[in-house]
Amino acid sequence: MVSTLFVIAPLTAHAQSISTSTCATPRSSFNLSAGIAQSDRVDQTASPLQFGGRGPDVSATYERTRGTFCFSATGRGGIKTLTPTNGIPSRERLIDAELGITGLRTVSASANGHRAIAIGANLHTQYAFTTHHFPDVEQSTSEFRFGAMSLGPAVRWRESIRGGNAVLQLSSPLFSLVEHPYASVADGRAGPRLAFTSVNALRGLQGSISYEWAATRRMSILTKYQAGWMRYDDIRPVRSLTQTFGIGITTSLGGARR
Amino acid sequence: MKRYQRLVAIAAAALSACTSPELVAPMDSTNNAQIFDALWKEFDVHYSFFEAKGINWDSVGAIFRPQAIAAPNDAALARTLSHMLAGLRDRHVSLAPAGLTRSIAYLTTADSGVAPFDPGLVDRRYLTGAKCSQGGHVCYGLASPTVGYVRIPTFEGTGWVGELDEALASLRGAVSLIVDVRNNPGGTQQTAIEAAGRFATSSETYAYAKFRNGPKHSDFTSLAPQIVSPAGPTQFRGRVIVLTNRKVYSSGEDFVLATRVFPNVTTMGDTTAGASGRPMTRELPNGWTFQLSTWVQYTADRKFFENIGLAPDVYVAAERSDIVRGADPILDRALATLGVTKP
Repeated sequence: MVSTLFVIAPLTAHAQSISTSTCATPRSSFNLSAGIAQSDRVDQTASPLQFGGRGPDVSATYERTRGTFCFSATGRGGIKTLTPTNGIPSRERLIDAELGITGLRTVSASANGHRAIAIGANLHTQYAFTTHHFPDVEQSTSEFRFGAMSLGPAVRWRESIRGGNAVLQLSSPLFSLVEHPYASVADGRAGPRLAFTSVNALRGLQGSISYEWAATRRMSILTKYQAGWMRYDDIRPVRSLTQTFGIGITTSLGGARR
Repeated sequence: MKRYQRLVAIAAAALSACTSPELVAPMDSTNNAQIFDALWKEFDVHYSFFEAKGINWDSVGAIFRPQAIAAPNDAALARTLSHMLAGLRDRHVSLAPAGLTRSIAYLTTADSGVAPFDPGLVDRRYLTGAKCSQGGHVCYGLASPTVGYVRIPTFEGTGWVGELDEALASLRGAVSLIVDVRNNPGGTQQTAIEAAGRFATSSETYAYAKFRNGPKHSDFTSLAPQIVSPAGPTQFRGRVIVLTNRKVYSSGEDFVLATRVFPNVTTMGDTTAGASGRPMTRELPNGWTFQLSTWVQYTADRKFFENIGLAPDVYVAAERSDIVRGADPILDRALATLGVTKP
């Protein structure tokens, strides 16, 4: 009887974690992914034209669940070569990175644990460093940067599908601290230029949809599509859309996946 | 295995579907109005001399925009834009239409004329052992056993100031030095200040500058000091005469500013061009590029010198006819000041 109770109790606890958690079913997990990103952007500090291009991208995510609360930290970065969409012979080398820290609380979950919805907040930091190559005879280059740290609401929906987990997460900035120098940053031409803004000036949407299924007891395979759109209304406006598709491995930390 | 096959298919579809959406209204590389507006706007938010030169940029735009729109081809458009930019009277403003190997720039009278300066004459008539450094950035020789001569034709590029050290080492016996930067069109400010550091006896403020940093024509950073410090393995501490003329521009003027703050340095010759600018390159929707000035620079005693120039400590008149008859009056005066009789 006692042994039966011992067997039942952990199962019950595990069932509880499945039914309430919108993160991965282990208490904590780490994911490493690699893929390709498409970046489209306009930064009028560099050029009035829209630039677009693709390049390799890597991301890492740490998630931890505690009761109905879920915490995740996601970092992403990549290097891309961008060209103008109207075909003139200039180009940009973009190095960009993002870090998102999300805290969520499950607000709705199905009894069988196959579906859960959580809401919370997201602290999102992004940084873009651009080397712009002009189409002049001297092949001049200039360097520009853009950074923003934003805080806003986040929502996550998770559903078990065909033995795996599909997760959709959305977040949007409400308040942001932006660093956008007025001109190129080489040789001290333009120092830091900080601005605290709200949705009036900086609007954005970060979204991801992923599907994960177990490969072994402790590891699973994750496919993820991530997109981030931003519109910053400055004297030198910035518009950007980054789309990433990646495949990775998730390892459970401190507990096997069932 | 089927799941993995689905995964590959999804990945392929996702990658091919990641096309470039329009984030802003596309710019037409053949639309003269868009090209003009882009050029006018970039100057409006970045050009540094509107207030200092008393230019009403709105009025300038109103005059030239209809002409630009009516331009029937690229050559006519380039002419119109150049005429508009010529009104800025700025040696650092230029327009480079695609397909041209040289850009269209504002020229002063001094730019168009031939300066009364001939490096070949100096080497032939005034120097013994005249030679140039291995990289060709510095030419030097002895004007007398105790007076050395160093000529720096340009400050383009970086990483070559060691050639100046080579020249100074060769002129080890000289107790006085003539540094000739006549006809130096400038180049890289960092290089000019590194070179000036070879004559610096201490760290000194040689100029002040402020950058345009906002949409209003009066938006600038605060005035920041520009410092020259001793640089290189050794610094020349004897008497130095720096030769200048009307064709010393930009970083050439930085060198003059940075050397003349030292008590052992005298500038001699003619006033420099007065072209400080600190240009920035930008591009237009049709692939043309242009440059515009982004800062306002002042002397160490906070005097504005754009389009005015840096007057020498000792003015020496010189004409092209002097060079033709085999004399260099500015160099003659420098040598006389240092106690060397004419060759």
